[in-house]
Amino acid sequence: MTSYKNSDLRPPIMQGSPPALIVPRLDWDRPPWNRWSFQHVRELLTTAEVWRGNGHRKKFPRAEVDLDTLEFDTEGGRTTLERHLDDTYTDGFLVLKDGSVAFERYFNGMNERTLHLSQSVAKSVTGMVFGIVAGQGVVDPAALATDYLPELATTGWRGATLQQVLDMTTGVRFDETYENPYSDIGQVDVAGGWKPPPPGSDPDFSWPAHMWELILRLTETVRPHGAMFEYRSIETDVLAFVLERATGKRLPQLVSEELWQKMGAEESACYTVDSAGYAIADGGFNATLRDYGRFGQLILDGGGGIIPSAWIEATRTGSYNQLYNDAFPEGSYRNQFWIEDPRSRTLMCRGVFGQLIWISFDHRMVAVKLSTYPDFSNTAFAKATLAAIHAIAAALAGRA
Amino acid sequence: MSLPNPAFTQKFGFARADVGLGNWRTRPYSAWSFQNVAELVPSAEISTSATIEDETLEPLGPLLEQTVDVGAGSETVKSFLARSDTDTLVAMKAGNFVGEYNAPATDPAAPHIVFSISKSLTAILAGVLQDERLLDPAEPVTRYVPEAKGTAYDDVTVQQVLDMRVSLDFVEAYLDPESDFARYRRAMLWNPMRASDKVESLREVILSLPKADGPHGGPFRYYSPLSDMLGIIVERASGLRYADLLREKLWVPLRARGRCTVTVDSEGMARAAGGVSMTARDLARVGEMMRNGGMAGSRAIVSERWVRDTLSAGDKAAWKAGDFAHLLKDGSYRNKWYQSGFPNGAFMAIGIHGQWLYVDAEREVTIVRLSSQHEPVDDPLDQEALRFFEQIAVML
Repeated sequence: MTSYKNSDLRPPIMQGSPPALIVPRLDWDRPPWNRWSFQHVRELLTTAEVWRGNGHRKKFPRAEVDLDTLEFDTEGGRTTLERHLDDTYTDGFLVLKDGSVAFERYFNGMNERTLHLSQSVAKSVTGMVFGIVAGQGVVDPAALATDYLPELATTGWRGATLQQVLDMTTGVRFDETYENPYSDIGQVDVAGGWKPPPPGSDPDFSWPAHMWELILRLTETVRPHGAMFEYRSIETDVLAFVLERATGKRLPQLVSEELWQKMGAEESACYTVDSAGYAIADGGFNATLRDYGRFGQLILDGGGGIIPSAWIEATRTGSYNQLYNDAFPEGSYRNQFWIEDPRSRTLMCRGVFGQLIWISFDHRMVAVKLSTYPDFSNTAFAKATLAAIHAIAAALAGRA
Repeated sequence: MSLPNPAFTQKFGFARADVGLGNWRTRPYSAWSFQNVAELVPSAEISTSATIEDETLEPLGPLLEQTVDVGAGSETVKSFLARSDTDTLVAMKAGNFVGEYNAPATDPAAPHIVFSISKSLTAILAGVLQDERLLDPAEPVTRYVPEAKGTAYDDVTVQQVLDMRVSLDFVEAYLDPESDFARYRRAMLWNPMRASDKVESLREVILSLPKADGPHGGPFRYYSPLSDMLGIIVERASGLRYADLLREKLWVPLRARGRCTVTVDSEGMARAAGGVSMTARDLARVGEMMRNGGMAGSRAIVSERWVRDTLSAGDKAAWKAGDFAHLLKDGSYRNKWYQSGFPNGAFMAIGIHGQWLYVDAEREVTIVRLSSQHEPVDDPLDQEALRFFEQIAVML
């Protein structure tokens, strides 16, 4: 089935009793189903809560600016922000300028309380928690992965440092072809509890029971550790296992204690969990639009005494020896964050199907976009979104 | 295979990875899993922004050291709570919380599965829809669920569903994996699927159950699928999905505070017969609302007429001839609530593995006990629990 835009008639997915259109278990993350399911992950998968705690909610002052008609150029021609948000299947969009809400929009049934799946934005959450725990001296990025997880001695991570895992420069072989169910990332879908094994799949194929088993099966390397960056989701899961082993705590508890309880989150968040209860650190995190904004603002504020500022500075210090991403060819990747270019050193958290947190130190601005593209990735959409955000930054700068 | 969460293992005595659909409703795992059901079964959110209770409740304190005799000789309240695998006990007197007991592994902020107390909540929704003239209990089920035509529910009224007086052929055969009961448990996603199992929805399984020989409207027969059917009925009558209906008609006007969830099946259908998780204090608020004739403070949740019917119109003959006569010898059952038949007029909502909402209206006492008893049904312990509540109500 094809998807629908916010300006189209909304099909009755999971509406009514019995629901007129029921989300199929195998395709819940595909169009058009993802337009409903990314806001209702708990109803499809097993989840663990990331408790916001008992503290006060950090309120954002509001200084709203009408940006709907703001015009900017994309590869597909000139457009407006309002049209861009529609064209790119947006569920929520937030702009924070100098710590105040400048623009906030919800679409497609989402509201300020909805938890939205953020896919690989979860990696950046893991990266920042790693930085916090490293600041406490509990983990050391220079140490070997096997120092914390001796079981990895029989895997491709043998000899890799945690800094290499953080930067995705280990040489571990991991095939990230999303469309192939037998690829390593396809196996993550089954091991992580996101999908049943595909019907008609080879009955003799032994699917990993959970994420830890999948990691232990990745025994090969394709190049020496540290030689180059290659984006592989599984590195984040290794980091999370290191954090769990080093702290003794489960990841949802760690994120709750170190971030969500301290940063004044508005709502509890949640992680999807696999059959062994492991939280999917590479892409199973769900939170509200504003809480993603709080996470971005915390980083922009130098960590607010919660994240070591030196860790944030290190995260902004990338290397630029290869092409990292087609959507921003000058960019880099460090500590589970994307860097937009070497001059601005703007940080980005990015997830498939159109998830983005954009953190600009130059502009004192955070932008969050939660979407449900019809495709895993769409470089034209990603470039147009960056163009939109830069136009917003310029417009807001002009007002100051 | 060692998974790294030693803090969890230290606290609960088993690893998180040891808990799965095959064992989550047994000890020792249930001391954790009954407060974390969404980690095991997909669940829809009922609560809006969950807040923490304003006031920290006093521990039950002196009451815990008092002596009760529930039939096993004299013992302290504390020792009964510990030996009965009670996770939480909350008591209210005249509308105020008296105190709270939590077992060492209990997280008082976590929602606890209430099992069949969910049925009593679903029935409140039916009462609300009856008040709104969207549901008539005298009507046949098929008026609201057209696909029930030609099934065992063909000539069943909604009231018979509410009172568990339907002639259904359904046996809780725990050991036979091919039985309807096993299909039922798999369809609600509570039990493991085997590779050879067909994925069925809860609705399909419920509608496929055969009718038994006797007529409808006979003795009280406790068939859980009837309460799932009631969940479908209230959805059809209101046009809302169960979680949305429960939030709008009960959770919000009750001013409930904690998290509240309900497990859902492969089609997103809520397990209206047993899948609700909520905090003990919020469940106590439900009991207070029933004690106050449907009022929560100044807000009317359900009509006094419906509450009065629920607490008084149970058919005693149907009860005496029914499945649970041994539990309450002068009891009755109406609209999925139990009437004790005790002199104090106590009424109750009850769930397996030791979930109780006990209201002694005469003494203005409401008690919630949420537990992780190993056995789903434990007749001797149920009798002890009843005597325990009676004695606690007197002490308060």
